[in-house]
Amino acid sequence: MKIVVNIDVMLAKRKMMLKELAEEVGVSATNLSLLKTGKAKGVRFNTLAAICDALDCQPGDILEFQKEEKV
Amino acid sequence: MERNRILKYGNLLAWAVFWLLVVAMAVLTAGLIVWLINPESFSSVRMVDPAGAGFGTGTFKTGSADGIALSELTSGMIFWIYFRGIFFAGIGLLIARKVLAVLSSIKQLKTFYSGNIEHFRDMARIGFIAFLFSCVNVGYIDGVINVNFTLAIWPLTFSVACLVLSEVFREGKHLLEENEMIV
Repeated sequence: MKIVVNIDVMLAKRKMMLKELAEEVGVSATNLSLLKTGKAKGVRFNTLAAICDALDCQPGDILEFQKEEKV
Repeated sequence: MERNRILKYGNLLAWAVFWLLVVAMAVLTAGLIVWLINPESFSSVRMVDPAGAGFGTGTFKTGSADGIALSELTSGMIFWIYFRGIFFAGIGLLIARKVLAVLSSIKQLKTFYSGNIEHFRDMARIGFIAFLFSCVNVGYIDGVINVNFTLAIWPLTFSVACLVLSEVFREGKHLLEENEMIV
């Protein structure tokens, strides 16, 4: 079970830089980068809401569930 | 962080204990030196249960008929009492320093950092050594070798409490790290 964060896809669609998004959301670029690369362990609802507001999208556009294949 | 009175008084108390133990060690050493120069200088000082087991050296008394006069003890026994006194004071000194280090880190808002976990582990180790040393004492009084055993509850309780606290701080560090990973 894996949650994939597609912030980079949405950023490309909106032609926005990570730094700009960080400023708009009110979190550090480092933390947003952690979220983008999937290193963060979680995301708060208010952060998610601020990201969706800044990117004008739905949480589902940013977060995607991927089932891990059993080897 | 708000000014915490308990931390402030705890810090003052730890410093007071630290300097009290330094003074105790100095007094013990000075007493030994005086005794070496003139063995009769402490003839009025008596000691209650000099071979008794437990944390500490035993009780010194003046102007009392209880116990045994220091002048009646052998040189080896006097050195042994001195060694035990210095050992326990040293243990107390090490623990006071560790407590001061923990309080200082809390003051600097670094409560759950790895150093504190180590400090509590060290205190648990020191406490356990104190427990082992407190359990037994030997003495040579009136030509008889006395070996005394006791279960020193307080050093053992202290050691276990420090070990539990080290695990609490480890868990706290883990939770803090997890919290920091939530954006």
